[in-house]
Amino acid sequence: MLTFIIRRLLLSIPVLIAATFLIFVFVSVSSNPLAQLYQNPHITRAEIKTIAHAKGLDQPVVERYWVWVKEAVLHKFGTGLTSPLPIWPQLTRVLGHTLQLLVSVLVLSVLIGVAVGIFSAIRQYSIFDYTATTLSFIGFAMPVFWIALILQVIFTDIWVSWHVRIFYTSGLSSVDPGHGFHFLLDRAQHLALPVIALCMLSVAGYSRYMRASMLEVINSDYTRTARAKGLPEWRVIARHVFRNALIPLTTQIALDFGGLFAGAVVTEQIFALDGMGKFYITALFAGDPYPVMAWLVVVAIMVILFNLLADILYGFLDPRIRYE
Amino acid sequence: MVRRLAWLVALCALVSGVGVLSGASAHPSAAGGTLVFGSEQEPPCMNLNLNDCNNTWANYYGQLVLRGTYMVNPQFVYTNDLVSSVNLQLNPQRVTYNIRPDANWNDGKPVTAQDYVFTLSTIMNMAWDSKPTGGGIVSRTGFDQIIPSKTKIFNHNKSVTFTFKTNYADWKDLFSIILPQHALVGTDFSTDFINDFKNPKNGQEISDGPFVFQSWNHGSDMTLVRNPTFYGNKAKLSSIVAKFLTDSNSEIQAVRGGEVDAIYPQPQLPLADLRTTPGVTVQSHLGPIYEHIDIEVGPNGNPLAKFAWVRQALMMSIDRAALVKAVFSTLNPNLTPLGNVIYLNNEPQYVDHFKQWNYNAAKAKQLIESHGCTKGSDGIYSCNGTRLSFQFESTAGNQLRQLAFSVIQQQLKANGIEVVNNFKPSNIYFGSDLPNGNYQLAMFAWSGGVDPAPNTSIWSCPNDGGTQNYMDFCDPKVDSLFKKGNAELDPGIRQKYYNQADFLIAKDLPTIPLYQKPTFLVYRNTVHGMTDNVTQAGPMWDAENWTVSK
Repeated sequence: MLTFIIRRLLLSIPVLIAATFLIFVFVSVSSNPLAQLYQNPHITRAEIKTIAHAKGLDQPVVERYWVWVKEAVLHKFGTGLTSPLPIWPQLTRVLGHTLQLLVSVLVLSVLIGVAVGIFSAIRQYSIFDYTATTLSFIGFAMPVFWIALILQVIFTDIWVSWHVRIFYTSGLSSVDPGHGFHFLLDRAQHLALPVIALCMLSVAGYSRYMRASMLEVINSDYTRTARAKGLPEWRVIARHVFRNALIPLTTQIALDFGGLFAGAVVTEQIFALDGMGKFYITALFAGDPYPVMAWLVVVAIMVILFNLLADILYGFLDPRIRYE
Repeated sequence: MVRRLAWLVALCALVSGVGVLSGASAHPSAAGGTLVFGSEQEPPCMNLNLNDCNNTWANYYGQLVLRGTYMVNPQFVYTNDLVSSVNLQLNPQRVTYNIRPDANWNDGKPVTAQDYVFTLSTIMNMAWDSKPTGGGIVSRTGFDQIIPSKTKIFNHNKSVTFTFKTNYADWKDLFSIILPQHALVGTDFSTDFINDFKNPKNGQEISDGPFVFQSWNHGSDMTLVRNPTFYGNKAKLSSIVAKFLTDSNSEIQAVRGGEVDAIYPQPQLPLADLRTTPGVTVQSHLGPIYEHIDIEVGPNGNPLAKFAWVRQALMMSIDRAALVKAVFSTLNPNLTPLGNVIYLNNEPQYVDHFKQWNYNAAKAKQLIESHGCTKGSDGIYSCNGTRLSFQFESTAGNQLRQLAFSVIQQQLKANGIEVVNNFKPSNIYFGSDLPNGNYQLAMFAWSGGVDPAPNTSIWSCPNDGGTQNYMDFCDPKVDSLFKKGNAELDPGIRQKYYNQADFLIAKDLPTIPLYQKPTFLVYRNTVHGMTDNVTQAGPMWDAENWTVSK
């Protein structure tokens, strides 16, 4: 196992280097961070050239990539090309916000998805099962941005009609969110709608996954043996079926957790949430490769680590799996 | 006795009732309170003289903290702000700024002539362009005409005279932000005023405006609080909070739902609903940003575009009045097409020189066919074997531009001219295609200012100051008129030069002016004292007069 882990980690390094190099080249070649300067009637071409030289934009892209690597390692990603603000504090800030949102989504959607999946499997072909299946497919089909916009309109209309503030439609907190419990409540009211919008898709996925996994186990030989031994049904489900059915879902959740760090670009944009997705898309539109690269490195490392964790977990939970 | 007492009580009740009613019908707002302004962009940083921070919203909020010589009012008039008077002398041009005696920084130090001189020397310092951060100085135009050695300070450091090398007509736009010399002297300007307006020497926020910068939660909001030492009308609000809402739909719901008190979005179609939303007021006027279609006549453009008759046929095939109606009727039904590329529709100097090419489909067809073009089976003309087909570029993801393109495409197709959608991401469009002239037709916007001098870089020949002349248009007569206008200090004579230039531009037709985008100031009915200002001053120009009733 240890050999497996070390080998995986070592193999990840060239993958990370290749990914960062390719993305850096693509972003650098396809955009010009000084584009806005051409719109300024007071700046001469000579001045733009000076500014480009100061920012290293007149160097070959390979050399610029090396400069970026040095900045990333020695100065925690340094500052952007179009902004003098240091990148690392921004990244940690938006990462925290994204984790608040997406961990909430993950926890809620796992709890609800698993419960719905279990009940659907136990009551296969019942009205509940058919209803859950239908709602799952509706959840899959509905685009997140549409759900997000509808939720904003609904809760704004509630406020307009009855002056009752249930949830907020934008931002992470109010102007004066208070402290302690008031702060938490305010934050919950702001995150509720984006969480609901994202949960609809996630619950649909996890419930289908759990249902399929449960059905596979529920009809297996050892489950039949457990029943034949005279165990109560609840014990069969809880100790034999559920635990074994959870194995593939657990690894799926570990994989999804790695992807959380990339943020939810559309949702964060619509709800004006200061998260990883918004950070990434803002930098991309500005044509600034430095924040994009910083985002990529964090996300890539997390995806690599959690992919590895998922593999380890799978081997740990299922004794039939052994890694050489 | 009891009866008298009863009458007395009744009288008191009557008086207090009238008082209550008067209070209710009189201005309901009181001093104090916080106004939350939904901002479509988050400023990248706050040093308004650096390119990295050059952002519309940074300028809007920055002017609440750092003031300048003039404030431009909604009628395009320069009104004294930091100065009590300004004197202009000729031969040579000398401008004397007499700073208000009561103009002080909030740390108690007066605003002085030294601040003006320091502002000049900071802007003219080329070292900032070579710094890795900051992106260099936004504009030195005009400042480079001042002879530093002839600067005179007098009147107890409250007056300063600058002498110009040659006449510079746009002098009123100079010194629009005055820097605090006592705070910034000796510092690295490329790193000053990035996250805040702190005096690097003592870490305290500095301001000579109606508000003082308080805090910035990056990604979320920015807070400015009332400056009690402001020389002008003291702000009625306790604070203004800028809430960053970069999605236009979020802005709409936020103002409807009372999460923000006001917004000032770019015009987009969904905003139309706000006109009928209860509890919300909309002010919409002709804005300074005007949309146009540039025709590339250089080597990278369509070969047919070199012919004047092709450009004329293009413009006469576009029904701009119908286009404006299709795009903006729900947002602002009073918009009209633009007929001048130097002066805006709402400026007194405006003359429509482009009306000679107003929509006339029949005349356009006649023009095309008189040059030997024949219609193909697909309804598109071919002229000497070349299809009358153009690549049409604009910024991808812009709903209004997409709609405008669809309308234009249909109108042109009806007249046998084809335009093909070639929309691109803005950083490629503005960063590569436009500056290199790699386009055939390009639709985008210029921002008109109060002074026409900045248009020089757009309409002058590329090798004669036309740094933003992406069309490769060149008329030495236009160059000469701009030079004369830029050096003419008499406003009446000046506007004649510029209008003559516009006449020549209209005659040659390297561009098709479309319309001015409307401004859209939306605020809840609990907000009072807010007035739209379409000039570069923006909606915050009278923030000290705002109040909020709850």
